[in-house]
Amino acid sequence: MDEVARLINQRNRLLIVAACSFVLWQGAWLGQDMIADIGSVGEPWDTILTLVLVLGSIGWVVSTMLYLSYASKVTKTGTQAVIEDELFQHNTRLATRAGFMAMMGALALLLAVDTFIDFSATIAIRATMILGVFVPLVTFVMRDSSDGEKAV
Amino acid sequence: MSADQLGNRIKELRARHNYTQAQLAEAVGVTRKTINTVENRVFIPSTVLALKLAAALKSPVEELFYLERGTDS
Repeated sequence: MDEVARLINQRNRLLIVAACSFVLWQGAWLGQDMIADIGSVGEPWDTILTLVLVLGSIGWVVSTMLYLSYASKVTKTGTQAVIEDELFQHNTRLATRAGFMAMMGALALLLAVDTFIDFSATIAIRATMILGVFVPLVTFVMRDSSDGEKAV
Repeated sequence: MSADQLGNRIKELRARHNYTQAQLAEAVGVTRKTINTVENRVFIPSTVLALKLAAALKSPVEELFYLERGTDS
């Protein structure tokens, strides 16, 4: 069972790195989209956003590759059924629901903002996508990391 | 009015059989965390897991799990 706990911790760390990398990558891209909408804001900000975008995309690719390696380790050790047990399925469902709610909230907010400010559809789509990826990943890890000791 | 809750005697029966949470988890094929959350009433197990737990703890499922009536107001 120590192997299972070690693999679960490894998976959660990978998911957090992936979530943060995705936000950096797509957030910087979102920033560039917004700048393109309002016109250039000058050299330092363009460079910073490009740097963050590149770092975030590298982080996303690396975490995805490490996740594939983790998945192969899980298969090799024959621990998949234990790791992806009922609690895992339950937390996955809750995380997916949280992501859906976040996306719906973002869409409602963007529709309201659109009444006062004009922005391109790309900005709305990217902002919604960032939440749709980040919120489920972080919600899952937060739920999975709480041990259940704070029970009734 | 509060809803009915699912109570359990997992901790008690575990102690009777000298099982740790990790040993019980291994016996039923789930993580220790799952046993902990079920024991602490954070997570309600499926019927399949409830039956597996009952079998591992050599106890009828209705002795292991019981319904705590909610209060009507």
